[in-house]
Amino acid sequence: MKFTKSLLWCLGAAAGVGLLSMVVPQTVSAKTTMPVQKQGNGELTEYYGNTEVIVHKPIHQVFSHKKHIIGVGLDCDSCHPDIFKKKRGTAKAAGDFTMKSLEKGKYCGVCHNGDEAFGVTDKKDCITCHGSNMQPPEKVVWKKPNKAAFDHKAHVEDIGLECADCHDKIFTMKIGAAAAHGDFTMASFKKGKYCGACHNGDDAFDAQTQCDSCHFVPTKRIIFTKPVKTVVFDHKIHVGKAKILCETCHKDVFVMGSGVLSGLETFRSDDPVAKRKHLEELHEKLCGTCHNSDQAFGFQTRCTVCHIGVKGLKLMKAGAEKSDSPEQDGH
Amino acid sequence: MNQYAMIIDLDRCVGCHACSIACRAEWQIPVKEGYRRNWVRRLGPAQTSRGLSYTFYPGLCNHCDHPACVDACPADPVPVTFKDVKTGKTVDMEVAATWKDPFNGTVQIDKNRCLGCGACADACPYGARYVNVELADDDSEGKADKCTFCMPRVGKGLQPACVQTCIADARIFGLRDDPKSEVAAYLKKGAKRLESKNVKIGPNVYYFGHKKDLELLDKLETPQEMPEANSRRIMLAKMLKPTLGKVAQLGIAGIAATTLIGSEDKEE
Repeated sequence: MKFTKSLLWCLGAAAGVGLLSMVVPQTVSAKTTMPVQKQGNGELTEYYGNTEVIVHKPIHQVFSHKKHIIGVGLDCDSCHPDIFKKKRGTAKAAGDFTMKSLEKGKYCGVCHNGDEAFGVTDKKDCITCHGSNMQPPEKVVWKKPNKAAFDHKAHVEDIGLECADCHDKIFTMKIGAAAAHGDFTMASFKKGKYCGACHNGDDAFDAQTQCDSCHFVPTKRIIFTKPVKTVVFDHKIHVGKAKILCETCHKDVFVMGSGVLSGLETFRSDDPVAKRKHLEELHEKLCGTCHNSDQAFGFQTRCTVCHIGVKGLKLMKAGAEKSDSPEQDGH
Repeated sequence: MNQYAMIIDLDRCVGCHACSIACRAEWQIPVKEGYRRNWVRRLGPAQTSRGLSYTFYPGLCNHCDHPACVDACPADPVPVTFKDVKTGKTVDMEVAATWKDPFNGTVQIDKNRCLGCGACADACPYGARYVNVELADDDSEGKADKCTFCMPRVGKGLQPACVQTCIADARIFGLRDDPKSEVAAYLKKGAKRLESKNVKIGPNVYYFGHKKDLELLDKLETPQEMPEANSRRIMLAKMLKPTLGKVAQLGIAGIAATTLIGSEDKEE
C-alpha cells in the first residue's frame, strides 16, 4: 500500500509539474504578444501593426518648428498667418524668399535682425540654418571661361573661412553663377574681384602666380601647324620633368589668349640670308628664350625633337590613336 | 492600397458605450474632459422628414482618404521608410509627426516627434483628435492622440477593441476595397459617410441604418465647414492684445464663453 501511495504521489507531483510547465510558457508568450514598442537600431518607433515605420535622420532642416515652439516658446500666431501662410512651400513659391528680402526684414528677418534673434547677415550663423541642408561641395570645377578647379573643402576646413566671407557678396551661391558673368577673368582678379578679393599676394598668394593651383596643365601634346606644319610641344616634359612654372613661359613669351602664333605665316623669300635671319629671330623670340644651348638644348641643335615632319606626325598619330588622340585642346 | 474602414450599423447600436469604455481601457486613455479616441453621442428623439428618430452617434477617427490633420502638422519632416511586414514592400516618404499609412490607409501619430501644438486637432472637422497635455516633456507641449484603428491589435490578428467588445455587433471592421469583406457588403447596401458640400475629405467610417436615423445623424453631426486654421488661437491672441477696446473684449469673451458652454453640452 505504502508503495502504491508513494507512486500515486509521484505521479501527482509529475502531473503538477507538467501542468505548471504548460502554464508558465503560456503566460510568457502572452506577454510577448502584447503590443509593445518595437525598437530596432533605435530607428523603429512605435508599433503600428503590420507596417514597420523606420524613421531616418532628417536631411533638410533649415527651419525647425520644434526649436521655435518648444525651445523659444513661440505661439503659432507669432508667425502665422501674418509672416508665413500656413501651408508648406508658399513662401518659396512667392519668389522673394531670398536672403536679400530676409535682410530687408521680410519672412525670417522679422525676428532675425540681430536684435530679437541672430541676424541673417551674421557671418557665423549661416550654418545655423544652412548647416544640414546644404552640402558644401568639396570641389568646384569651372569649365568657363577656362577650366579651373577650386578646393572648397580646403578653404572652409583648413583655412577656416566662414560661408559669408565669400557668399553672397563675392560669389553668388549658385553653381556656374560666376562663370555666367562676362568678367570672371584673371584680369578681374587683378582688380580684386572674385578670387582676387583675397588672392592679391597679401591675404593669399597672388592670383597672377601659381597658375597650376587652380588651372590644369594640358596633358595632350600641342601640334603647331603655323607657321610650319609640324612642330610638337609636350607640356608634360616641361612642367613635369623640367619643373618649369606656368608663368615662366605664359607671362611674356607665350601670353595666353593673345594669339602669339595665330598671325604668323610661313616666311617665303628667295634670299637665304633674310630667311635664316627671320627664322633665327622667330626661334629666339619663342622657344629660343630657353632653348639657347644655355638653359636648354639650343634651337640650332636637335631640330627633329620638335620638327617631326609630316611623316613623323603621321607615325605619331598612328601610334597615338591606340592610346589617346592628339587633340589640340590644352585647357 | 488596402484601406481599412469601419461600418457602424445604427440599427444594431443600443448606445451602451461599451465601445468607448473598451477603447479607454485598452489604450489607457486618461479620464478627463475631452480625452477620448472613441465616443457615443445620443441623438434625438427628434422629428425628421421621415418620422421620429432616436439614435446614436458612435464616432472615432475616420482615417480619411485626404486627412486634413496630416497636412497641418508643423513638426519637422523626416524621411521615413514604411515596410509592409507581410509582403516586405517598402515605401519612402517624408513625413511630419503624423501621416497616412501607405499600406493600410490608417492615419497614425509618431508620439516621439509630436510637439503637442494641437494644430492637427484644430484641423480635424470631426474633432477626432485631442492633445494629452499631461504627456508634455522637454520636447513638446503634450502629445496628440486619437484612434489608431487598433493597428497594434490588428497586426496581431485581433479585431479593434471597440469592435470586439460591441454587444450588438454594430461595429464592423475590415478592408474597404476587398469585395469579399463584410464592409464592402455594407457599402453595397448603402452605408454613408458623414460628408457635406464643404467637407469632402473621404472619411472611412461609414454609417448604416434607417433613413430617418441617418437623416438625423447627418443633420446634427456632419461637419458643414472645414475648421478655419487656428481660429481659436487667433481669437485668444486677439483677446490678449491690449489695443482692443473693452467692449470688443467683452464681446469676444462672450463668444468664447458660449462656444465653451456649447462644447460642454455636446460632450454630455
